[in-house]
Amino acid sequence: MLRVPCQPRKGWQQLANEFGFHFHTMYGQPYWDESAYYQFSLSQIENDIEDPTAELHQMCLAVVERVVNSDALLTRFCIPQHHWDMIRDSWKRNDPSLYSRLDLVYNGQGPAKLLENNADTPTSLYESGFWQWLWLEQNVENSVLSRRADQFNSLQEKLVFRFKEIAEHYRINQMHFSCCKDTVEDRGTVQYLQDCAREAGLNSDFVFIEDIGLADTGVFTDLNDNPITDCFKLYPWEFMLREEFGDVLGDAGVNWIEPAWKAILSNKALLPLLWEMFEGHPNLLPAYFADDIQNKDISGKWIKKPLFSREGANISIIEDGKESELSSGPYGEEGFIIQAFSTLPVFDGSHTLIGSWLVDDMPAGISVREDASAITQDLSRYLPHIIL
Amino acid sequence: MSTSKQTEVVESTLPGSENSPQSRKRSANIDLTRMRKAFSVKPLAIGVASVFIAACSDNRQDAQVYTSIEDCKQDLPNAAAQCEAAYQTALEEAERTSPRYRSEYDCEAEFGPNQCRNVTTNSGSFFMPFMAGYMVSQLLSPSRYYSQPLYTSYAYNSPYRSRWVTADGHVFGGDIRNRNFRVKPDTLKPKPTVNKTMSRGGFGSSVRAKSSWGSSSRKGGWGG
Repeated sequence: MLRVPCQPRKGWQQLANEFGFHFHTMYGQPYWDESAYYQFSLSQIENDIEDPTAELHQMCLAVVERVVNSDALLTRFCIPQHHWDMIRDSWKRNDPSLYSRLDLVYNGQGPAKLLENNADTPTSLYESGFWQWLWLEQNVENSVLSRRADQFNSLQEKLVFRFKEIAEHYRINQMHFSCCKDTVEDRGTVQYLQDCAREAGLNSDFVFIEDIGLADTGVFTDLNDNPITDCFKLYPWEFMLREEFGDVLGDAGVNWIEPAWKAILSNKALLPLLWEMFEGHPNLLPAYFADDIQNKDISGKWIKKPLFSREGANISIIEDGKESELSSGPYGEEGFIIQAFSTLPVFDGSHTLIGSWLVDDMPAGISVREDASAITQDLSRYLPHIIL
Repeated sequence: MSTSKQTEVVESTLPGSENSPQSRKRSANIDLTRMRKAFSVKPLAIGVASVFIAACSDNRQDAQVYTSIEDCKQDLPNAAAQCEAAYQTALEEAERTSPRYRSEYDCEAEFGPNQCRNVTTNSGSFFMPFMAGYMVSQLLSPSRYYSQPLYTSYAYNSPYRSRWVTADGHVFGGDIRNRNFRVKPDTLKPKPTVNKTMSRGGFGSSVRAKSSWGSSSRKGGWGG
C-alpha cells in the first residue's frame, strides 16, 4: 500500500461538469483529489480487504438474526417498540438490500479492523463506482499508468445487476428515489443510483424526503400524487422511525431500499454485539456498551460514540479512564458505545481510511479517503486507487 | 443467483470473483455516452423508441360490456358464476379507483344529476359516480379473466356523455349502445388507486432539528 503522487488529468473539472459530478469541490475545499493515488497489491486487496469484507458482512447479518429475535436486544438498540414487527417482518421476508460500506482501518499489512458499518445511507458511491473508474481508464489510455494497472471496483456492474434482481423480486419496472433537499452530494449519489437502475431497465421518479405526502388511502405520494410503492431512500431509518410519518410506515406498504432491517446494522450497538459474538476475531476491535463496562478491561485508549450519529459528532476519547470530548453535536440521548482506539495510518501527513463496499453480500470495491484529523473525518478528501 | 442475505457465517468466500470470467477486479463495461449529463441526445431517442414500439404492437383482444349481472347471464347462460364474480370484481375496483370529487356538485357536473353517491372513509367524505357497467374479457377462460368498472355521463356538456369511460378517463368509441370492443391489453389493466394527498412534510424533521448544529461541518446531507 503506497501513496503515489500523480499529475491530475488536464481539464478534469470540465469533464466532471459534462458527467454531472458537481461536488468535487465542496465548501471551498477540494474533495476529489487526483494529485496522488493509492497503490495496493492484489493480495492486499483480496486477502486483507475483500475476503474479510465478505466475512464481516456475514457476521453482521448474524447479529441481525439475533437482535430481531430478542425483545431485550431490540430495546438495547433503541428501536421504537411499535416498529419491531415491521423490522422483524422485513428480515423474515428476506427484503432485499442494495448496498453498504464498511469503514476499515488498514495500513497495508496485518488484519484490517472494522471501524463502522454504513449499512443504511452510505455516500461517496458515484466517485467510487464511476469517477475513479474513469480516472483509471483515462490514465491507462494516456500511458500515465501501466496497462496492467487494475482497480478493486466492480461497483457499477454489481449495482446494475442487483437492481435487476430487486426488480424481479418485487416484479416492478418503476422505482422512486429520494433524499433530502439542499445537499448536492446526496442528490448526486441518488442520481447515480437512478442511472444504475435505468441500466437495469427500471424507470425512476425522484421526490425529496421533505415532499413525500400521505394520501387518504394511506399510501405515500410524490408531488404528482402518484403512489410511492417501491422507494430507494438516502435517509436514515433511525430518523424515519421517529418522525411524524413513522407512525404510518407499517401501513403504507412501501418496499423500501434499504429495507427496514438495516436499522439494526446502521446502529453502533452493532459493534459491541459483534465483539460479544465473535470476540477476538482478527478484523474486529473490542467494543462495549458504555453503561456495561464493569469487569471489562478498558485500560488504554478508547473512542466513545453515540448509538446514532453522523459526521463524527459527539465523539469522546477515553484514556486510562479519563474522558475528553473531541467533537460536540446533537446526538447521544439514546446512549453510547466504546470501541478500542485504532489509529488511522498516516501517509504524507494525512490519515487514511478505507471504505469497503458491498452490493448485497458481495464485496464490490473500495474507496480511499484522507483526513487531517485522526478521528472525526470531517473534511475528508477522496483519492483514487489502483492495483498493481 | 445471490440471496438477499445469509445468516450463517461463511469463512473466506469470494462471491463474484472466483466465478468471474475475467480476472480484472473492476467493471468491464460502462457506457460513457449514457453516463454523460451535458449535451445528451437521450430524450429524442426515447421518443423515437416509444413511437416504434407503439406502431408495432397491436395484440388487441375482445371485450364485452354488461350493465348488470342479468345482462351478462343472458349473453352467457353457462357462465352465471363468472358473471357474478366479474361484477363483484368491478364493484371492488370501482371502490378503489373511481374518480373522486370533493362535492356532489362537482361530481354531478361531470356525470349528471343523481349519478353520484357519497362515500365516507376514515380520511373524509367524497362523491363518486355510480358504476354504469362493467367490461369483461376472457370471462370463460378458467385461469384469468378481466373485469373493470365503466362509467357514463348524463351531463349535457360532458365529453363522457352517452359514452363508456374507464376510471382513469379512457373514452371508448361510439355511444353506450356499443357493447363489443376490441381493446389493447393496457385498457384492461387494473387502474391505479386514486390518492388524495392529505399532508406532506412528515419526513425530514430530524434534518431540520439537527442541521442547526455544527457550522464547521461541510456535510449537509445524511449519507455517511
